[in-house]
Amino acid sequence: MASPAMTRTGPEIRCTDLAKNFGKGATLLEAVAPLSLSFAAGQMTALVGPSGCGKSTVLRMIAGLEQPSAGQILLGGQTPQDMQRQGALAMAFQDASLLPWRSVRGNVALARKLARLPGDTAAVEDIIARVGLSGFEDARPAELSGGMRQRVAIARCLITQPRVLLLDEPFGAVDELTRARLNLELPPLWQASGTTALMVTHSVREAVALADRVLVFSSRPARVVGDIAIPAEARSDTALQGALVEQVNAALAQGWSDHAAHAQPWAAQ
Amino acid sequence: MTPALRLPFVPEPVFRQMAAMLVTLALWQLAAMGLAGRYMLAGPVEVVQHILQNYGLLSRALWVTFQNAAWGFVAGNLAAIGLALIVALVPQTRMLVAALALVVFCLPLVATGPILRVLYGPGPGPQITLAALAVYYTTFIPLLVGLRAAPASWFDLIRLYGRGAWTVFVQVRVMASLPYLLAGLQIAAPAAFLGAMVGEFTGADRGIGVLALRAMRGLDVEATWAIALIAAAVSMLAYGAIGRITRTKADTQPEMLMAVKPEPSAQLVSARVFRIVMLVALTAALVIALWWALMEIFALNRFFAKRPDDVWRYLVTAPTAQANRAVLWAATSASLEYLIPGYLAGLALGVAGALALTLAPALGSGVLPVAIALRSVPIVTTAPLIVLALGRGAAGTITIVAVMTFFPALVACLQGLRQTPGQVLDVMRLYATNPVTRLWYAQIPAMLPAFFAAARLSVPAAILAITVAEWLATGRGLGALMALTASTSDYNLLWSAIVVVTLGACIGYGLVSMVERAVLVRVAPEQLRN
Amino acid sequence: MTQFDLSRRHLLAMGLGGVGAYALGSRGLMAQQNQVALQLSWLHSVQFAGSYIADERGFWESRGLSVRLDAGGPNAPVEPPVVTGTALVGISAADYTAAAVQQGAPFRIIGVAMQNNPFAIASLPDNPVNTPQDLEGKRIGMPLANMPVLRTLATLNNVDIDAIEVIPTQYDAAPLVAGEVDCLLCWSTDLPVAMFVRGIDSVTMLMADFGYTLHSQTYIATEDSIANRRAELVALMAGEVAGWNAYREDLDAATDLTLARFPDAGLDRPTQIEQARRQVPLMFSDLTDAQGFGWFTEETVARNIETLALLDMPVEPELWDRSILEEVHG
Repeated sequence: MASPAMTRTGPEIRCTDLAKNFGKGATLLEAVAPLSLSFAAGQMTALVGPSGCGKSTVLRMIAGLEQPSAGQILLGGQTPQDMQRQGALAMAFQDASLLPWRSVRGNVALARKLARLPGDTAAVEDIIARVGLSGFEDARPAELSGGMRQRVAIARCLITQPRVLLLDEPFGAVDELTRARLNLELPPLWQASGTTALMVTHSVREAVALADRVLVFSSRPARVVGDIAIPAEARSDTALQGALVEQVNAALAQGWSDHAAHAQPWAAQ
Repeated sequence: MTPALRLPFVPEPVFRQMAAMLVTLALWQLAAMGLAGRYMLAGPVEVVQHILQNYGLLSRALWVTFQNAAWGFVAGNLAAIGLALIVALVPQTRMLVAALALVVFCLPLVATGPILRVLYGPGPGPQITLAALAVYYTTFIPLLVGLRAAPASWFDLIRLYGRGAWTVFVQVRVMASLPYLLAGLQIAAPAAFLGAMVGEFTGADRGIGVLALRAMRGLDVEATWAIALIAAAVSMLAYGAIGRITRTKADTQPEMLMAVKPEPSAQLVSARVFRIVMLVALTAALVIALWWALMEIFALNRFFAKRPDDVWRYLVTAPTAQANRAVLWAATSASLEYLIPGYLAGLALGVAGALALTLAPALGSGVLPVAIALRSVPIVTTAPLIVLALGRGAAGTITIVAVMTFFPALVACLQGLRQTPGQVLDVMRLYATNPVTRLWYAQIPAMLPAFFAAARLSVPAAILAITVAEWLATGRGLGALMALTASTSDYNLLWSAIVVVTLGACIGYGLVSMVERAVLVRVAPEQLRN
Repeated sequence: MTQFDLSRRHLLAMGLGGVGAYALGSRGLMAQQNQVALQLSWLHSVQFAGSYIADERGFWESRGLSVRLDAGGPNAPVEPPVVTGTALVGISAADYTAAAVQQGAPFRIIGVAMQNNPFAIASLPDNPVNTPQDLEGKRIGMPLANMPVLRTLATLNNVDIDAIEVIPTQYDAAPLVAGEVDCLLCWSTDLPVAMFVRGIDSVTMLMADFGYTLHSQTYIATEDSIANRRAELVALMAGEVAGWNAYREDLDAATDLTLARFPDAGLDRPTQIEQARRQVPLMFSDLTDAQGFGWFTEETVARNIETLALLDMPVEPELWDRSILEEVHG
């Protein structure tokens, strides 16, 4: 039996003059200064930048988990809240965020329930098998390794066939070897099926290996200091990959020196 | 016998424990023989004899008290769960519900008992209600923590699919709070037994509390000790049994039980003060309104059911108001005179004990389970024993209060000390830091949140202890003043005393909270953030 | 009280709503069965054996009354249930009743079970208190609440109260036996009995023998009941009189009945029979022999009023209402 498509065709995502502040008065923190971004339908974009630059906040605003202080987000003309209600979003977090009292099967099935989709035992079994966890359906999260838990988290994302997949450093908490393996095994499950995917990552190498496009941010308040398209042939061309990694690193460095320049007048005061 | 030493959670070196037990029993017997004729202490032989001779009587009484305690346990915990549900579903009510719950918890049993008896008439009503009142707070507080004890990403996950507070509640909060609920229930079990016993003092046909009174008045030392040991054993067994269920049913143990992390505070001090003042005012207004409304709704007779305006008149506007206040103040200061040293001594000894056990771990193999078990011994049975042993003066009363605060403090501090991150200790070992320095820089700061949680909860407990001691044994202070109403019908005085005690308990709780905040800001600021 | 009633109460007790619902419910139930309640002043014991006899031998049933006997206790008030009507009659004491009346309770004393006040000073034979004068220089153990009692005894007998050292104690003879105090203020029927049963000789000085004239175990009812529920009051008091007369005739039977009726109250026969004996001279006198159990006269009332005045509780003779007893004995 042919497996069903893991995702549905994704929309274009358009952020206009997006800004986010936390706190107020003397303690105001400008997490994201007005920023306009767009992400092509069906593409996977990696967001890289220094810690605390606001890239996770951008992701969470697109997910509808944070309200922008200003600006607008449209996903194929719809708001994040519309997308939420349609069960069209999925997100993976740095820690797998599995509910410890539910089994692997229960955690995956929960997403269908939350997305108001009918229960589908066969689909749940199938996706668990495809992330490589056959035989662990009844295990509790506490019995799994970190890598296995991330596999469950990805299965939970894909069981709803999301139109937009948001990955917030999903492999950031696992060791280097496991990360390499997950990078090889999991992305094919959603790549090539047309979903729009955004991934925040700290690994430039991972960004270049998995994404169609890498967006490089400066330190807070973030500005885009690099927008690097990753051609399809880079997947098989390690030399090209190396060059692209250098290019991203250069952009990151640029962001840093810009930041230093910005900081000078402030430090002088 | 002392089932205390043979509970299911006794650790490995059984042989050593047996030897220690035999030595204890022998010493106890010797002490009893030495004190024979002074009607203070009954030895283990006499106690066992008494239990065997009165097996039927004691087991029937136990069954009655146990049933009432069980009903109260169910009722009180359902109330706690109900309150927690309100807070979970309408988070804005959190501070107010918590404040009201505290006020009700601080009501003095000595005074609420007779009032409940008048309301219910004969029957087990007061026993069950007092048991419920004794348990609900210690379940409610951990539940409050438990309902919020989940990583933010779990809530994100639910919201990601456009689901609201109800789904969050069903899918995350209920299960996440389960270990906290079970931990609360564990502490509640012995408290329910205490409440049921005190309830029997308001006029009951049978029960362990009735027998305890009878034994005390009848110079029946064997019976007094037998009943105290039975009540202690039942309380500890209830604690152990629920602990066992917890360990099999819950996947995770909650880390910090009673330490409610304060709400993320408004940054400005003035704003915080304003918030607190508002909360206090609102709580006071609500308490007064509830007090009034309940009495009017049930048309309670004004002879004993005094309204807030009666108390106001009695304490402020009546011609005798000044004399009335003087009576109350004299009793209050008499109580405080023993309460404060006892409370502080109990806390200090608890901390000292926990630190000593940390510095010399060999000393304390198995001390924690024993301390946890002793924490559940009901005060109404220990108070007469301590008075028998130490007399009715300062020493006896202060000791009763200290015992009431010592065990919770010791247990909390030992648990808190275990919260020290292992890696921090490893770093210190790496530099061959001496144990005292390790204690000072790593372990004590880790212990403080648990210590303060115990210190806060010990305020109402210490007040309960002193009023019970004054009422049953020493006949002075607020406890005796409240009990006096039975002969003078001065219900204005009784209600005023309730107000004073409740207010005092809440103020004490608030003062400890202020010290807590001031200390934690310096040593453990992460506890104050969300 | 039926099993059903018990479980229903359990259920109701769970909510605050249950408080009022039960209070109302029990009153409704009582009216239906024409049942009344007698609120006792302490835990069940031979102290109330006359009432148990009245119940067991049908002295009330034959008068068309069913009486529920509600136990008291150290934290159980007597007066409020009578005020609210939960109990038709309560067993109080003249001073308690006077205090309640001062607080606005509409009580009358309708009978007196203890003609002589049971308050006593108990001491040990090698350091006895035989007269109030012996109290000077002694340490006395008592609840501070009883200070007015001691002060009244001192005033009546020209004893310097400041020469007595008061040590607060409660409910327990141990301080005397252990030598913490030289004497105890207690009832002649409780702590001295406990010591007697334990084989400890004690000296008991009855305060009633030294001018402390105060009715105890007084039957109280509200003015409203006296006006509107006379028949029930008369029936209740008639049963009490008959019960206590039977008690006097056979203390052993009364004790056995008490023990049989309350197997779970932790009562022992030696204590109960001794207490039964010791309360006889308190309850029965030449006056009751002539007029019947529970009786009082203008003269005894006047002496009570004098004592109450010393206790700082001015009352009028109208506090005592003999009309019920007159119907009973008449």
